[in-house]
Amino acid sequence: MEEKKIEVKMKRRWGMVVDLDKCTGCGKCSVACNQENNMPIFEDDSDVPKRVAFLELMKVTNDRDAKFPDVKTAYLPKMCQQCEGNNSGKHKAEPPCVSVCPAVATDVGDDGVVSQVWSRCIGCRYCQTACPYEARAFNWWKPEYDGSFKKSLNTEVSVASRGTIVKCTFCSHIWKRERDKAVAKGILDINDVSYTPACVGTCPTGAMVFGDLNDPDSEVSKLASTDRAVRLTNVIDDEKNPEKKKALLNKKQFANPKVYYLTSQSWLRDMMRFKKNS
Amino acid sequence: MKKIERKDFLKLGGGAVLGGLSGWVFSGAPFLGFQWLAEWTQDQYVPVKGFEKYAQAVSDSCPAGCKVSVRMIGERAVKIESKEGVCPSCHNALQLTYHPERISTPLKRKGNKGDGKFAPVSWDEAIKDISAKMNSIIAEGKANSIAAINKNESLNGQLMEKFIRSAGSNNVYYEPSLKSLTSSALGGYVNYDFANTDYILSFGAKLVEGWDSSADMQKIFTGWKARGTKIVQADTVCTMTASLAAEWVPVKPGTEAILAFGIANYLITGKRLNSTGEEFGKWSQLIINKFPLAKVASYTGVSEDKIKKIGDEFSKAKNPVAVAGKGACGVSASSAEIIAIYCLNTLVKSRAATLMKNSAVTYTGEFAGLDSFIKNGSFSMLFLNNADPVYKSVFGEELKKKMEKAFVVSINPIMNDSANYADYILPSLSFLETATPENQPVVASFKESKDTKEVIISLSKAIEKTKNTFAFSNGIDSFKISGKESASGARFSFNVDKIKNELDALDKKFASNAEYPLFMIPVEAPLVGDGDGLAFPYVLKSIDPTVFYREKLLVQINRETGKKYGLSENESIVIKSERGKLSKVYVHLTDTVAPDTVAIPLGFGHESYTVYGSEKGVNPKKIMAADVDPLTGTADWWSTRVKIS
Amino acid sequence: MRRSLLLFFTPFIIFTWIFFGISQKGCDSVMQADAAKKIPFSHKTHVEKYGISDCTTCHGYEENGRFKGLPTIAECTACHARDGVTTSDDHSVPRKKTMFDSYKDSDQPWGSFAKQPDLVYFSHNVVMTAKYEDGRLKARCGSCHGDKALTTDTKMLKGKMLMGQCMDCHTALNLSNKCAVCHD
Repeated sequence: MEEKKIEVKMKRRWGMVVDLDKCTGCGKCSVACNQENNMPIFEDDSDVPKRVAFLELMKVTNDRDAKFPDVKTAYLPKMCQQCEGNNSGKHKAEPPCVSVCPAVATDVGDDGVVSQVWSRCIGCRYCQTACPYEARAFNWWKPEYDGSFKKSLNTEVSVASRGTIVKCTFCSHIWKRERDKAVAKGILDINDVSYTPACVGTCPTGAMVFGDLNDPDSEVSKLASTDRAVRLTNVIDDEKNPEKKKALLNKKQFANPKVYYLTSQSWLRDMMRFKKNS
Repeated sequence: MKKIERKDFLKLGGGAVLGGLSGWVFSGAPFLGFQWLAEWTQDQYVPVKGFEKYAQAVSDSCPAGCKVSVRMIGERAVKIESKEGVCPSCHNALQLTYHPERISTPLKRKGNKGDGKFAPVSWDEAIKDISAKMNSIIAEGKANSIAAINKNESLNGQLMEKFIRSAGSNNVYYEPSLKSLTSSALGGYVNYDFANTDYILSFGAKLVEGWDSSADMQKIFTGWKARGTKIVQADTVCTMTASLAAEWVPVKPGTEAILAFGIANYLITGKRLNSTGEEFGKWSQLIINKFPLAKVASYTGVSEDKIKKIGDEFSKAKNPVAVAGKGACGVSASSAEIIAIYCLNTLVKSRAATLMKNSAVTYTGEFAGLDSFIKNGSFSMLFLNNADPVYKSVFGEELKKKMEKAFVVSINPIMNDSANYADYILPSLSFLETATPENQPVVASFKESKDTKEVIISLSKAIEKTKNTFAFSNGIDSFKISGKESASGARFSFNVDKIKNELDALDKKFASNAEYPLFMIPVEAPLVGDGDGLAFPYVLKSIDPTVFYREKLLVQINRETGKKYGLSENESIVIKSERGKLSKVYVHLTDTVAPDTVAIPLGFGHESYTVYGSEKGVNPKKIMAADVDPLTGTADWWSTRVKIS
Repeated sequence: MRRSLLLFFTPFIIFTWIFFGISQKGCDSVMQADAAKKIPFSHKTHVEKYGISDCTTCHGYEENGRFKGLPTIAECTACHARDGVTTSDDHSVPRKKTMFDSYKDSDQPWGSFAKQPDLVYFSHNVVMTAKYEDGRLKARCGSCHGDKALTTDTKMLKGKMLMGQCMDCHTALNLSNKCAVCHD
């Protein structure tokens, strides 16, 4: 039998697709994420700008512009979009948050997942400002777990300190967990490891899909290239002319997120791109 | 030797201090000192490590009995996972199991009811006291004054029903659910064959938002999308179901029943369809006379053409089904409405709706349903089986007064509004701590909490009359007598005599009313449902700021209506109905709600539901419509005439 | 003048020595050198006498790939049976050790010198199974922990295990040093 060369260089590029035509707003992704990532517990968590949550279940309606009964509602699970940025003439490709962090607390991993190491964070919140998607949460208070709630904490995610930023990491600790399991079974190639983040794993309608964007046969790659795919306010996506697009990409930095949303509803497409109802 | 003077002391002292300092510095301690200081001041909790594995459990939150995998680290359960998707109740079971306000021992009331003062007692003492009381009531021949209210018809509810009935009481009730309402109205609850239908006409049933079995419905919805099943949603608010439906038919608040009458009218007169239900002739005469299409159009806001179009599509579909049960987790429907909607199924000979019954569950007791019991019944002893009728029933305040005069025992894991009025609280387990024929408990029982099944069984053994009701003594064996589902065998009847008055009332309700010009209807937030979710911190993290924000509960009002009443965003208003008023509600202007409607979130306003659930918003049930339906025995609280100021 | 110097330096030296000592103890605790070692253990005896050459005999892995770490008393009593003989002429028989009597099988009497803070993820499995193309293992237990095989006591060998140690090896082997590789 041919000896497979054991690959140590990461070739994956993790991305996610959320099908808003299938999302029923059940909220299970939110609970699963909170449970998996040791979200701090507060008695009143209604102050949304200060809420510490990796996944925000946004309720979106077009009622700013539309009148009853031409209204619609949708729920949009929003987490860190794991931006890639782009190589423009002056800057190398990196997410907006990574480019501004003075303490290198956030960095892009080899698999495209933007890591957040709270212990390096100095709490300047520059990244929180830079993030175009408001996906980062700041620990205004010390993360605490009232009494016996401590018993349901996950050891794979460390508890951050007060004054640091935390965010969704596409459950990269689950990748590590799966890597351990694979190696125990004798599968040593780093690219043979696949995993499912907490939110995707619990979605009951299959609206959330996760996979390798570098693999053209993966479901995420296929879904992300369909007509229904749209990304949250990534302005360059609206530029249809390929030459103009290339020129813009060379001149400016765009977020270039790796989370795609699928929707057949044009009002939702427009809202996600901050455009008025077409 | 010269004497040591002050100057010398300075030298000594200086030497000491500088010596200490240099010793400290040269040991490298300052750097490490800062590191230590940072860690000590942060004082972060480090979760306890342990052997990682997966354990299996079966949920008993509802009759669906979903199977889940539980990720364990050592002895601790840290995550509930399932390939199938589980309902919020299941997910919340993890936070329930480890909730710091979990009740650890049986509690006995000290002080007045409602004060919330309880003292721990032993199980022996509690069972002794409760059984003594129950035995004496039965001995006096007043067994019927012993009542029980079950949360749902899972095995726990079935056992309680058997126990109380064998004690000689007919007063066993279930909190109103889709199954209980339709069962009372139709003689069996409706089993929808959603997988094989191509056209769904939903009358306010928020199919994907917690209606019926939430876990099942999510899967069913995925199937609908794959097969292109057409969903037509008649609803007042554009919620997710309405948005995801192929067509949203906006109706004026609470008029879903009227729409059903209109469509039935059209199908009978326009398309000459017949129903096999008993008294069909009588019923159709009533409907045709009382609800001509023009009136239906004006009441519902749906044009006559549209009504006809829906009727046409519905009857032409291959296997259409009409779905009754307005709401999501909390459903409400009058029997007239349920009958009319089921009639539509019979008119088109739908194969997707059949009537079923459960061999171990009887929804009616001495009174037709829970609300009529609370309103008109009396009891000297009451068992609450994880139920919270003080919060969920419109007669919550009346129930409080009756509970104050009776001996009340509540079986539940955390305090709720109803348990606050109990004499004894017996702590129960979450499903992670109970064994089923398919699995061992995943987590050890919390302190002295016991499995509800075992509590009921030990109570039954302590009561003279029910000593032999259960042939077993542990919870696992009780699964043997779990109820079986079968066709109900009942003949669908229109029950015209019973619902005649309701039809009149509906007619009057939607005529214009100067004193109460608006309608208040409920909406639900994901995970909060009709109240159960609010005790769990992770549920709080999902609440949208247009529902509840910084101590303000927001009600949704249409912009035009808002303009009419001069309302601005976030303004504080008072909502008044015939039954009372709600203050401390705030306005959110949105066109996702029909005009002249106040859409108020359910699930808030608990009085004692842990620190996470209490003192948040108001409970609209307090002022919601309380006309008790003659067949279901439940108040149709869905639409309430209100005015705002 | 001499007197002044005496008055100054006597306490200076004494206090330097005292505070140095106290600070050392403090540093030790931060530098992890004071991990509890409640039971004496000689690697040399066990390795030579009983021919245990594979560290994973006592420092093994779970089925899911996680490393078990320092052994529990159960590993010891597996050979040093609780109901065994306390003396024996046959030196190849593991004898009962009375020092285990006050411990349960699930106790872990040793703290780890290599203990990492909560935010560090390290997989022994991944690192220890990594091989070069010619089949040699890239890392051995001693590479990071020092060669304990022939030690007779439980003293710390290599000093606190800091991040630099990991990064140096990763750099040398051309492996990724991105934050997410080890941190969550």
